[in-house]
Amino acid sequence: MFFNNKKLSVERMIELEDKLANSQLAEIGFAKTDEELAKILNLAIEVVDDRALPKDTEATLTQSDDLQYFGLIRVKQKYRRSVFACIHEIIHYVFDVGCGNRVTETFERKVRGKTRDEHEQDINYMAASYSMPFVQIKQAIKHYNDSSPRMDELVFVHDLCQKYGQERESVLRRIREVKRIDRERRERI
Amino acid sequence: MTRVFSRYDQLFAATDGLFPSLSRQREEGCDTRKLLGAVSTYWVALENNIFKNYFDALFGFIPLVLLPAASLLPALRISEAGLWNYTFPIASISIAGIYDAYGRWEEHKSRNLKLGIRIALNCMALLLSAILVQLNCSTFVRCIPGFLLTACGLALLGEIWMRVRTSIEMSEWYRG
Repeated sequence: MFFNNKKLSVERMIELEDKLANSQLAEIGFAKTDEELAKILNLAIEVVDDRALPKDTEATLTQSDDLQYFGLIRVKQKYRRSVFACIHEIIHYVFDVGCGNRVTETFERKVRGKTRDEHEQDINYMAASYSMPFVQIKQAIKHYNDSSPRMDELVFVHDLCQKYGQERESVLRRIREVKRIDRERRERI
Repeated sequence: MTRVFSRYDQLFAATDGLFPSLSRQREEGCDTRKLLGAVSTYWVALENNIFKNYFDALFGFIPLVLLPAASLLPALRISEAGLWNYTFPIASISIAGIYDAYGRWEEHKSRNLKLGIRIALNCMALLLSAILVQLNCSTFVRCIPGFLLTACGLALLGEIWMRVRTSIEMSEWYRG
């Protein structure tokens, strides 16, 4: 099944980066784990059986029955270790609900982020941007480019995968995005 | 109830007392697959890569993969093997491979085993190229040093491809 996964333009990526940089998440701090972030934002995380949620869904953000929490993130057992699953829902909470507000509707993340919805694509991008912050990735790329003799690129990518707990494809995509954004910003100056 | 014993079973029944290790191996299952798996894992492991970066891999493609494969040509195209038309080209490529592997040698590194295997295969090719020229052998036998050198080169292809692919995927122009 092919998805018409229209890629974000560089301009849109820059807008989302700025939006994230000016949000409450920037005050809290980037690249925190989903558990830390959920605790700070007063959200509960519940690991559910794979059959508890629709087949094409990794996680959902719904209202919580427990009044001490503003919302409930339900994530499938097999996606619990995926960094994006819960971060995606937390990004929904910050930008669609608002910090300090109760969740009243349900948001969900599709498996591996495959979606045609533009807003969901924006959320996916911001989840990646939060997990692998622009400034840190840019610094790592600069360190790699300035290395003499040139660093081992396999080790470079592997180290980033280890540091951010991401898959190789996610890290490579993030590296490309950061390079494009950086080039566009330099051209604007 | 009758049971059909295969010759395999009969052999093990007969040798069970004499060779206990064979019967234990039979009970535990064949270890060959595990051994091959370990070799494969070692060969592709990141820390055992012999190239330093993708430049090294790209520029190493010609002397380490293409030229060794070309060493088959002397054996295939000549009617009679001689020192200059057979031994010299193969020996030159073998010596170049040995020198390259020796140059990449670092103390206490796990990749040294890989380099050692390359050196050994290149030495075998060098030796065979000197011996086979003296013998009146078939074309297939004459090609053996070339096969050894080609195998050395092909074993590096995976690593070279991985590096080049990663460097392309890191590029901002890659629309993946």
